[in-house]
Amino acid sequence: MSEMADFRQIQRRVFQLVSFEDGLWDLLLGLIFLALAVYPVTRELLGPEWNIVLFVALLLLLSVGQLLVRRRVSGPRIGVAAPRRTPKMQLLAVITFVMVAVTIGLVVLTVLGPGRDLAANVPAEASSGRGYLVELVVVLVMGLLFSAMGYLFGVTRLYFYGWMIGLANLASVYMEHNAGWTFQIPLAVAAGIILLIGLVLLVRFLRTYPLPAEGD
Amino acid sequence: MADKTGIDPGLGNLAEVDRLVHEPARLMILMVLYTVEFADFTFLATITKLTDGNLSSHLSKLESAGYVEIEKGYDGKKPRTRIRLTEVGRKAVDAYRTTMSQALQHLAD
Repeated sequence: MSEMADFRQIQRRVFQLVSFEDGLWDLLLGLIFLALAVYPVTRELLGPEWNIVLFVALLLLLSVGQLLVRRRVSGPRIGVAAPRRTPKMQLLAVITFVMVAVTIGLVVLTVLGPGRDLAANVPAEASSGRGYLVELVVVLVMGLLFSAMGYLFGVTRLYFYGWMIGLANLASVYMEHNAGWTFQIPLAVAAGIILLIGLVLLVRFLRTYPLPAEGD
Repeated sequence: MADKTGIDPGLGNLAEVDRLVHEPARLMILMVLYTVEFADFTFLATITKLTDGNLSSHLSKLESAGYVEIEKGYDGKKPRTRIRLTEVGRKAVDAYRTTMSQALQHLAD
């Protein structure tokens, strides 16, 4: 079975190089959660409907931006490869996409929450009976999802990201309900840590993989 | 044949191993291509850490044997070389894995 383990290692290394080596995925993730952290603030300024439009537009912009940057910056340095779409990998991609969408939806749900009483400029009470069940589910889903991705792709920092984001989201909602924090500071801090890691990885990537000399 | 030579039948399969696949650098290239739809020349050079000349030479041999398909094109104005494993190449890698797996199992016994 040792040659099976080697193929798995190679598959992981391919995924790592294609998706995680340049830090762009971390930067994208950090920016998404930073946008979620300021969501309640922009909601007060723009109103709920326009805020959703802004968030979706930002999400699209960041995703497209990441692809473009990867094409212009990472591609020329490390090359391009498309991981093989076996039925197992396709199923994995679908499950991952669904879980990421559900997770972001749950985080948005908690951020949407009861919000602030705009007239009195005080936070509304948490919905009676809801407690922090949704936030706890988010902690579990994020922790397990990112840990599964970390295991499958062999990227150890993903284990840390999932639990950190889930717990930061829980802390943010708690502080909004109990201390009136509109700006989700714990979530912003978590996003900031991910952004910093992404930046460090990007700098390291640019140093490790210089552009090939002209004519190569 | 095993009786005459005294070689264990599992190990005897090693004589049948595809030497084109068995060479370490080419084995690395084939294993990477096995896990991808396609990879470009730069990616293969990055992940295998082979020099461009070395990689090019091994790819030529694999292409001659029909194990890989090399597609040269342009990405805008920049030349681009994409490599993919053919079905023949995939079967060759599978056969190699089976041969080595059987041989190593006998060693373990």
